[in-house]
Amino acid sequence: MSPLLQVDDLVITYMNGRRRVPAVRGVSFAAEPGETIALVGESGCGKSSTARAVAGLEAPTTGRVRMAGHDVGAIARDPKLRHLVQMVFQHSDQSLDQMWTVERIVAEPLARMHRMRRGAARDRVVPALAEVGLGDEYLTRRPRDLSGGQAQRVAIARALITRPQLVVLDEPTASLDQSVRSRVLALLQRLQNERKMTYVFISHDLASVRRIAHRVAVMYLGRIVEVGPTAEIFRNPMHPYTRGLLESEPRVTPNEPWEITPMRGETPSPSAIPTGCAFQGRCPLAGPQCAAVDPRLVEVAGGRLLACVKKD
Amino acid sequence: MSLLAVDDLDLRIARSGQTLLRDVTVSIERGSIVGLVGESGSGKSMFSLALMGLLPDGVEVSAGTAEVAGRPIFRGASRSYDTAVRDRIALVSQNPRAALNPTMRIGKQMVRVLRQRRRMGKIQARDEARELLRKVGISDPLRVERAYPHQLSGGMCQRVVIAMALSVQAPVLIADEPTTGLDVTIQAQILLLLKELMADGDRAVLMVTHDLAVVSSMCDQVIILYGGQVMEVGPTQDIFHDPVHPYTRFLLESLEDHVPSADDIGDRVTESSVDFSLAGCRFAKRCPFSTDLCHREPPLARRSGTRTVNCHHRGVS
Amino acid sequence: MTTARMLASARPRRLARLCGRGDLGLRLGLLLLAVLVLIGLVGPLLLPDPNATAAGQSLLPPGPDHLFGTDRYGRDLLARTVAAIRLDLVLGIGVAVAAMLLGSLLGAVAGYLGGIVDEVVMRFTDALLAFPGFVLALMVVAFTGNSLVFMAVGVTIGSMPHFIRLSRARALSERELDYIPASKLAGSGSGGIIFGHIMPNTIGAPLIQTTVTAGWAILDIAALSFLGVGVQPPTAEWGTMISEGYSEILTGKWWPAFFPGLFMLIAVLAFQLIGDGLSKWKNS
Repeated sequence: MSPLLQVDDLVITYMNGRRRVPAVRGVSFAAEPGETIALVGESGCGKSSTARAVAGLEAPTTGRVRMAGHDVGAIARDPKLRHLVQMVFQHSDQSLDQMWTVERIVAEPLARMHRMRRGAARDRVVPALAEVGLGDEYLTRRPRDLSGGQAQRVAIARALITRPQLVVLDEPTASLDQSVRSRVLALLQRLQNERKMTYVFISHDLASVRRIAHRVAVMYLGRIVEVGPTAEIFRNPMHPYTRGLLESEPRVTPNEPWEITPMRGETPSPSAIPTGCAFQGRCPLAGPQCAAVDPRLVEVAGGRLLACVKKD
Repeated sequence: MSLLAVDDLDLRIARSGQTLLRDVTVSIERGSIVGLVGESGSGKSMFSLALMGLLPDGVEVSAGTAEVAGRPIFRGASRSYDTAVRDRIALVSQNPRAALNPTMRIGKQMVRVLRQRRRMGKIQARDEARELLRKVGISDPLRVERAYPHQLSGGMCQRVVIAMALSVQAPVLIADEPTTGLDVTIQAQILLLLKELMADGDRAVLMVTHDLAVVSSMCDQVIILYGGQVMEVGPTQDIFHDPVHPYTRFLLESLEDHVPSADDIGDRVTESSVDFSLAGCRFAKRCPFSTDLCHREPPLARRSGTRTVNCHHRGVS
Repeated sequence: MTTARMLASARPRRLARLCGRGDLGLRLGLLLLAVLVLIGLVGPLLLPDPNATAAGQSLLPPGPDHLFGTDRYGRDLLARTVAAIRLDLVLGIGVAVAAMLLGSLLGAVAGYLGGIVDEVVMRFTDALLAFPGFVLALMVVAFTGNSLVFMAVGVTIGSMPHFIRLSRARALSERELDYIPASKLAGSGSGGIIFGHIMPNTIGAPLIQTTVTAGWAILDIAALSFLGVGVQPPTAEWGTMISEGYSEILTGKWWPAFFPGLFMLIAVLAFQLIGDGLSKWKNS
């Protein structure tokens, strides 16, 4: 099967006054139809910029994002294709216009893309809401009357109403309570199974990733440092950053308290990335060659890629 | 002796009469870390605001008593906040940057607090500030001293706030979501720091959080709050090992690494928001075991040994 | 925060309830405006022709026959002052609403699109702000000819900068919210986003500002008419009436200028009170 989404050497640079700040520094990955690939990392790793580029909201500085043979930028401009890529945003309260009703919000893609009138749109809005677990009574509500979970369900209904093939999920559960979070994840999983959509799942929350993703790409300072099937990444993290990230994640351990073992240091600013490996300053394994060589992402085992000179 | 003792505290919106907190009882011994856990709308932040005397306009303490190190926090018939207890409670809040003065260098802010609160001389205060910054794991206090808050990362700011909280030597420390908004690797650093600093056993710490995992690693005792009502109280390991209240069970089942079992109730818990004008148990609307009694009357605390459960139907076996 | 939400919903936000027991100034303002409108609607039906002159009746002091007295041409000042209510209120409100619509649209477009469009609109605004609205209207009339319409256009342009700034500031913060990219993905173009999302979300503050602006516009229009620009005699208008009457003050005949001035004051005060009350309500 050829991949549905193909990201090649994506570079995104922002201008901060006169200074160029690299947000994404050469990211490549692909996603198959029906697959969930998670981009994991901490703030400043470039995962959100990558997400916006994949959704066509951000033009790459260099590099390409292609979906089903088309450039994503072209998809965003082509009225016949742009329903193919949709996105669910992090802040459910911000991603819905507070002045609009739920019906109008969910119908917006239909109204804009298919020039559908309200009566005709309602026949599709009602089942779309039902699919995310919301009844007819929500049609006339406004975002301020919704809980965080309900708002996110509305956002999901809006994203899926045009039957996209690729959905970018930018931290869709980060603003939700734990108990709601797991339900929204379950909903996303069920919808994917029914429709065979591809998800690009952006998150800093490893527990959610473990639950929903088929493959994980770990990002640090604008680069992917490790890629692999979810289960293997969690069982046997190879990159020292992935290891540190997994060990930092608090866990509920019923029998004895979780031992906190933090990684040292902080992520350097994107405008002051060290030469060589970007992670060397925090890496427990760092040696002289780490300052000299900028590690490339290479395949180390079946389906597993790693960017570290200390691999062996 | 409890350093912080809150008994049957009620908070109410004056205009509508809705109770935001109902009969909340918290007691923290010296040297102990207690976790106050709840989801959004549980009233956990209101609780810490009440103890700091920072309740928003329109919210009032309508019943109950609270003492910090033997001194009542709320005085008189109107239960107004006694500002004299402020120097007995230190706060580490969710947004460290907002807790610092953006127009003043870190060193100056710390020296000011030390001079005012601990009556130190200028030079003595400066040395103490450096010492405190080192204590919270800042390796180059001279650089941080000269920095303005916006020049520091979120994790650094939180370290500074912790240093300032330590500087007033308050017997009670409230950590209100101290690591929410920080990256995981920084969160781990701050949690470890807090745990190490509290190891001397001089203080009582109230850790307010939504994150069960944080609680399980940090706290000796847990208080589970829902809709302004205490659901369950007990030693951390006991609660996580053997949750009794339906809400506690539901919360633990929603954790991603929870292994599903046959008697899970998660799927039967309905999703609806808290109704603060409800007379009965605040969880009754969502609870799969609720009966008429639950909707009618608030549950009484059932105690057994170290554990307390507020439920009409479930008790500790 | 959830509690903040609860507090907000516990507060009586409905305008109706606010008028019932809310801000005293707002209530007074609404009352004054209502009385003015009522007099303006009913008065001309009961009073004599405002332009009817009567020889030998000139400059009569206020008395039982002429409550406000008469002017130099013997015209009844009460009839004229009341007749002017319609013209001045319609002009003032019309100018304010036009300035609000145009200004908010320009502000929303500039704030949302940013870049060169924003630059141009803001320089234009700065240029407008360099002149008092009154002087600007004078310039417009000087270029286009002395007529009521051009005078109104001039005052409208002079009143726009506030609206442009208000709505641009809101648009700048609105465009950062995620519902904007969501709408782009739903297929909206810039026009759809500006009219569908940005304008409805930014119009609140300009709407409130409109009331205050209506008051200022009445003052500007009266001032221009006083100078003989815009409204022409013998049309009854407060500014022209004051202009005709102020020379009489020197001879102790205060009433020809006083009553139109008083009504103008009441109108401006009413709009100001309503505007202040509304913005208090919005910020509460």
